[in-house]
Amino acid sequence: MSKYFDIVAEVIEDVADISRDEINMDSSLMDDLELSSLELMTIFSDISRKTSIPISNKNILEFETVADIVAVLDAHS
Amino acid sequence: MYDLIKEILARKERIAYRYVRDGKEITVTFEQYYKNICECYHNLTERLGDINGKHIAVAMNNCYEYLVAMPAIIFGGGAILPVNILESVETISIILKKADTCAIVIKDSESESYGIPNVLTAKDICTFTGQGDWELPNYEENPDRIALMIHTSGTTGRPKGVMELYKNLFYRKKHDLPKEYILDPAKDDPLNTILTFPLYHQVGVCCWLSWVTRGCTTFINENPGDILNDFKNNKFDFTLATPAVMKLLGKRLKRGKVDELGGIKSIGSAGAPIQKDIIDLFLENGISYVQIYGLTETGEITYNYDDGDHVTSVGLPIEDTKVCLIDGEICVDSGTNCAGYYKNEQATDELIRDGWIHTGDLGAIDDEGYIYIVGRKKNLIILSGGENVSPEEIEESLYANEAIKECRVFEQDDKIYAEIFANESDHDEIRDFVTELNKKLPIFKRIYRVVFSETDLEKTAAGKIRRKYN
Repeated sequence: MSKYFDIVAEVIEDVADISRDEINMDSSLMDDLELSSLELMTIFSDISRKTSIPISNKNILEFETVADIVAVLDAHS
Repeated sequence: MYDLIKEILARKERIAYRYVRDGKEITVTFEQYYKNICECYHNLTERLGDINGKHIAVAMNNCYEYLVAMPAIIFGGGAILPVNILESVETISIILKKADTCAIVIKDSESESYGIPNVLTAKDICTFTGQGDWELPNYEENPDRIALMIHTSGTTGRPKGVMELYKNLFYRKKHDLPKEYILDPAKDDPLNTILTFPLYHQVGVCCWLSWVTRGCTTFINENPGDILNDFKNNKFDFTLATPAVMKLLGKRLKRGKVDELGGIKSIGSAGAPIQKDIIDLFLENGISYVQIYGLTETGEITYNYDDGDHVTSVGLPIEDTKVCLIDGEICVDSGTNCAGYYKNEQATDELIRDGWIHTGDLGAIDDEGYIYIVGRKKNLIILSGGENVSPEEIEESLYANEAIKECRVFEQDDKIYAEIFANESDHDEIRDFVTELNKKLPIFKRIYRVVFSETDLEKTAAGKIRRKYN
């Protein structure tokens, strides 16, 4: 498991008030976690701040699952 | 009418704006703000010539330069067209062309310019030397000119440009403020606000006007993704937020993190309906609540600061605003009403009848005059971010897939759903099509869920797909 999964899950839990148990790599950001667009923007901004890895708005539209975010972070490091 | 520039000049050394750039906080006094507006106007005329009557778009996230460009264009005699940059490039390009846009202000040379011939960056018009003795022209000379044109989604077709004339915009002072400031228009105690509402939205413009007029010190949230971080690191007294921002902040309260909301004492919502349980979260934490109701076409219609007995109401009509119900629909007669839609007589005639703007909202009025929204007459999805979405526009995109026989787009739990009737063998292909479509749609227009119907969709007597089953 990528070291970034914990960071991503922690941020989603905190911003969207979703129990950690409900967040896994396959979770769909929209269908499973039901994140709003503002929550998504906040989550990406927090992740960028925590990891110092920039995530552009262009990327935001391409993410479907938690794994997609983790993959971008992995690719950057 | 009132004179916003006089209000700015009266505040002198008080801090008007705070924002963070490259990790450094920058503060601007009202006096500097006025000088910057004048220099920005000068810079605009250097590049575009006389801007009187010209339509100038601004396509940026909220930032100080936006707040300077807006009055520089309006008081310079031009009309500002704030652009919702979350919209698709194609839609924005069509909107701006139809609106006879002659120039556009964008963030930097890397930003999209939507095919507009005269492109100015924020730096072009907001590099301030402070050297000249520039002044604004006689801006009150023609109050019947278009000062602001915000585009709003109608029930059909492309968004329409709402013409707000100078006399509409400055008809009266706006009070998007906490209860004690609404009740006492002379109250001048410094108030720290945070601007989270996008300036391409009518409420964002109302925040700007209200807060400048009352001498507030406004922190500018420049990136919507940083709202929580901005609250965590600053002190605020008040903000006006979309229900989506209220929900986001409410989740801090749910997690027991009231100390991460900047010590905010009062919060208001506007732009879309809000659930009572979210309001309750704030009240339970000692944060008072106000609600403001209005349309781009009308400006503010009602305020509600009674968070006790009338918490679910949108409140009482503002000052001399007249409100009535015609066949259950809320209709408004006010000096802040717009002059109609730009170059769209048919839609204007439907909007304004006998001097009354028909809002499309169905309402009820109680014995004390409090107004309640009970439904929508027009078929329009209003999301908690304050965005208006036309279901027909998304349905048109879905019908590009020939396997879709019938579809109906609707809102549920603040999300966009699509109900589709098609052969079962085509379901997988349609799902893939929607996934691809979502990548092209602006984030707020994404289809969150597809529901396949086993039978064809219910029709009205006229043979149209029924919008609601109730």
